[in-house]
Amino acid sequence: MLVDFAEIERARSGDDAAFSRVVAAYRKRVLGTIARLIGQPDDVEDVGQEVFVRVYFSLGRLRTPEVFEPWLYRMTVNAAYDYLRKRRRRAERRMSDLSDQQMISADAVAGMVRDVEHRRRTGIREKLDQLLTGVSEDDRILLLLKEVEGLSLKELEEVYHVNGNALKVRLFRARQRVLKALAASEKETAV
Amino acid sequence: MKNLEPELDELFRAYRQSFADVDPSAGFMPGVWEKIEARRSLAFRVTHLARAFLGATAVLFTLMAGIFVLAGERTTPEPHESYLDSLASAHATDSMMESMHAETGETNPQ
Repeated sequence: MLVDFAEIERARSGDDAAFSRVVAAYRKRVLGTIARLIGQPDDVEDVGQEVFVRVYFSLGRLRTPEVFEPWLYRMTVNAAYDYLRKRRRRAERRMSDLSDQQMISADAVAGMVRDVEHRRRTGIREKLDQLLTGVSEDDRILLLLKEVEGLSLKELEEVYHVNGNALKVRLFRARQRVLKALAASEKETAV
Repeated sequence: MKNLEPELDELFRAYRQSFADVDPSAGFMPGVWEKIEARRSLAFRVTHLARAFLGATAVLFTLMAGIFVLAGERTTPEPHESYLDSLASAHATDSMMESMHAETGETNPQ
């Protein structure tokens, strides 16, 4: 825990200063998780603010301060999930608005301003994102929480309120699909 | 078939590292409070509107009920005898007439 239980309890009972301290303690961790889940650096702060606004209005429903961290993870995941759904809708609209030529030139301009390191990082993200397109949004987030965020199965159980065995099965299937996609992409590259 | 498990693990690790630590900007905390205030005032307005609406509905309902009761009092017709009551009273008159004829020794002209 980054803050003590008493601080959470004070924030829960309406102490705004205590709430600010909780935000200050957790914001970096929350922003990092959001960045890895949504993959859009420009929108991370906005989604992060949304997480803490939701936390502020839902703190009263928190059972005990002891479960604050998995509960915060759950809030973070839900906000990221909402963002991804909105982004998909926006992207569908935007793609239909742009002609092919506009898209090519937009890519070219974006490519010119990127530096090498940035391009390498973007390449890794794009590769994994591409592999993850074969799994549902839910499973994608679950897989990222396990493999990238490093959450244990027990922690995932607390976040999802789902039996560990069910999560294991979901994780296994999602991973198998990603492995299959990776094999296909390697095959394609070799040809 | 090639075992791709280690490669995938490596990709996940590289993915994690591809995100630099996100440091919140100076405007992060004020932004959170701004959004909270905006939502709080929206919630306040919605509650206020809902209360006003409920109050207006209650007043309207009371008025309508009052009007309905008053109008009902004015237009309610005098209670009529029911069919059975009329029959009973007619029958009572007939029996009375018959007993009167019997006492006076008159016979029914019909």
